Amino acid sequence: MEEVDNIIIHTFRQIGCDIEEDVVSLRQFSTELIIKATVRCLKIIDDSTSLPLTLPPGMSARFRMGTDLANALVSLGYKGEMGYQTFLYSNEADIRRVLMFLVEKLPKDTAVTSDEPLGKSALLSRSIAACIADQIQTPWLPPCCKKRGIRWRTPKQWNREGASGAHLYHSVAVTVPSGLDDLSRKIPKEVKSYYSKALPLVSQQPPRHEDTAASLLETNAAEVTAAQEWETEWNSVGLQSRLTQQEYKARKKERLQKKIATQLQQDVQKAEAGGVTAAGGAADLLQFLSNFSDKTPGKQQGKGSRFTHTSKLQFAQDDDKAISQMGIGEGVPKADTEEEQRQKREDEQQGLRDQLTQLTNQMDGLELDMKKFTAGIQQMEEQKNLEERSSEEKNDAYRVKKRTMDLLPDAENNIAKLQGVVESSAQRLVSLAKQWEKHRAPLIDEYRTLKEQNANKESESLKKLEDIQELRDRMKEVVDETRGKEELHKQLVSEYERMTKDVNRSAYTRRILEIVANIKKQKHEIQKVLVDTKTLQKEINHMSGKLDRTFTVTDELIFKDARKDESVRKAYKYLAALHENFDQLIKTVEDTGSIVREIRDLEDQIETESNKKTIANLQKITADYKEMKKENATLIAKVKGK
Amino acid sequence: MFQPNQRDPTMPVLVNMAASVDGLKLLEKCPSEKLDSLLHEVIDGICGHCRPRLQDYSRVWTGEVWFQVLDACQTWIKNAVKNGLTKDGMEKDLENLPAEIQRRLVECVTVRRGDIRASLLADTAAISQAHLKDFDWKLKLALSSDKIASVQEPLLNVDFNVQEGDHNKTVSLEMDRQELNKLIASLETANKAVLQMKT
Repeated sequence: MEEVDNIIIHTFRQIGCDIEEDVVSLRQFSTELIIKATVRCLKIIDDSTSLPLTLPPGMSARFRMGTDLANALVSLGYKGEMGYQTFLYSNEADIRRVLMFLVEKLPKDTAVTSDEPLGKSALLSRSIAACIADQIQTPWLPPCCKKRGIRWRTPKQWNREGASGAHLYHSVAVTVPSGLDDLSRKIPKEVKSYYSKALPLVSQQPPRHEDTAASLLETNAAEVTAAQEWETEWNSVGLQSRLTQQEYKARKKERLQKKIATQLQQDVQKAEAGGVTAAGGAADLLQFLSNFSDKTPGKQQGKGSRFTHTSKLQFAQDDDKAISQMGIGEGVPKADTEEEQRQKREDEQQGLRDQLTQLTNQMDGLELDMKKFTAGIQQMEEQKNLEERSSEEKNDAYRVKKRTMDLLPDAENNIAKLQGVVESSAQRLVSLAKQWEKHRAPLIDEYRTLKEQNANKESESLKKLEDIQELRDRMKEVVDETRGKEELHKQLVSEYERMTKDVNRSAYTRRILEIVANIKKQKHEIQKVLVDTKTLQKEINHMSGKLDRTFTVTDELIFKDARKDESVRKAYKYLAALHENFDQLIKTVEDTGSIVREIRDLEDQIETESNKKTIANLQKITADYKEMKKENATLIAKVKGK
Repeated sequence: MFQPNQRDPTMPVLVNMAASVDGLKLLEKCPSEKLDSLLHEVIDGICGHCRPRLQDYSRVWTGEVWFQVLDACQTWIKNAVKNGLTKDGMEKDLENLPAEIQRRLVECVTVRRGDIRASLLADTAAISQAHLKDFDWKLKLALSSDKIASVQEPLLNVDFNVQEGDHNKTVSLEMDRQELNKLIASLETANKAVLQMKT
């Protein structure tokens, strides 16, 4: 019972009932405390409960509140007997049952939250609130008292105020000695001397000291991402190429360079093509220009945008105009009118236009001629080729014919000779074929075996590659797993640390385990007692059977003899009496046993009844009854007074 | 084909090299124990670290000459790395100088070639109009607003440090969760494109 009381009291303390320290069991609970705790629980379970936390002073109001409480509990699903008396005139067992029911009904998380209630976000917001409250409370300090915007609260606690110490995150490439971890590789002497003498410390490399941390972070991050990228690339593409890392890298570099080069070439070609068309558009204009005046310098021919040419044209015209105007101004008096000038200019223009059309016509004609001539040249070349081929063929035919003609005079001899030659060459051919066959067979065999070996090796290497891939995947998986497990471990450890603060829990579990062990022991003992009882019962049965039998046998024997002998008859009578007496004795013993049992039962009952504080409750009830009577009397008096 | 608008690319290098070799002669004045550290500091300056300071060398050179020396060293070193000169090539380039200075210069460049090359490459890769140099972020938690008592919304403040020509510009963005997701998604697609170019 102590355990249960402890748990109940602990829970009540958690939900905010101020129970004094020395209260250790429910027996010490006063009526007020019981009511308060019950109402609090009801409020936590159901927010809408509108019961007061304390008992009202009036007796009738108290009864009403008791009934309200009882109704609330019944509506929550309490199964036992329940009425106002449960609270007002409490007895320990009933109250324990009710409170246990209530504690079980309490929402689980509130029990947890009251102890370690806060998630991360709630904790964060709480700490933010605390921080802000702190900062609001602290008095203002002039900036000169805060070095770099830091205000020290205690020797170990500080916070930033203002933005005077803040600076941008700006990183610089940082040089760190490399290759020092591998002692087997020699570092060149110059590099070593550079590292030891000239290389400044990392903290002195960035131009501004504040950038050190940022630079280091950045360098590290860059290296990590580069390594990761390389790792994934090597795993996905590199391994399948079956090259060593250096070879793979070299090949990739070559490929990329080629790609860049082709891209650049294409772009340059495109740009050139664009420039040429622009220049082509301006070409006739240029020609016209050069014809028009010799002022345009020769080197401006060729490339250039349309715009430059037109602007040059304009300038040239302007120059020309200016010169002609100046010439006019110098030589001829100002008799020339505007009309004349315009007329002159138009004439000039007309002349030039005519010249232009003439020239273009001429050029077109020339171009046509040129095309014709080039076509002619091609045709001629083709013809020439044809002729050469036919002449060669004819030469060949002529040679063969000449040989045959030479052989004709001594025809028979020559034919025989020829036949001999043909035969010998045929034989030679056959022998050569045989030799070839001889050579060929082993070579082909060798070729086949080599091919097979090659195929085997290929498949083997493929298999190995797959194995490597698999191993790598497994490695990665295992690493992930270990990482996850480590995290879990850390989490569990932190959780455990948090939990150990709650001593009650471990105490509860220990006690529960003890109780379970006790129950087991008790069960065992009960079993033992049961067995004992059974054996006893058996023995008793056995004995009574034996007694019956002995009695019957003796009875018969003595009865037979009793007819003959008087003394025996007496003995028989004594026997019967003895038997009866013993029967009575046994019965009495049994009766005693049952009475003792009854007595014990009654004693138990008395104890429980006395536990229920009946007398005290009775006194309370009578007192309350008297109070009620008084209240009623005053009420009646009031009514009458009215 | 003759291109009137483009200068001959080989010309300025030659001119610079000649000028820088002239300037390098000024190094003769430098005491030999300081020469090494001076050269390394010049290279540090090229790599974006601390530049050498005049006050350390004020006994050797006056201000005007100092800048000539620095300029000469920088241009020569940059050119040497840019043209991929070998040891012999560099020595040939420095023929007119005393052997001691030659040796020191060649040594410095061979040791630091990787660093210089990296920084030159970074400069070259940044030829576009504006490019991202750095970024910084901080996470803020909006507790409440003028209308709502409890907002509890995380906001991310990202500063992009963008270089446009010669001057830096900081672009600040404040984003909530969705906007940040959008930004990350677009950055990831950009990264994918870069990876495709790489392979």
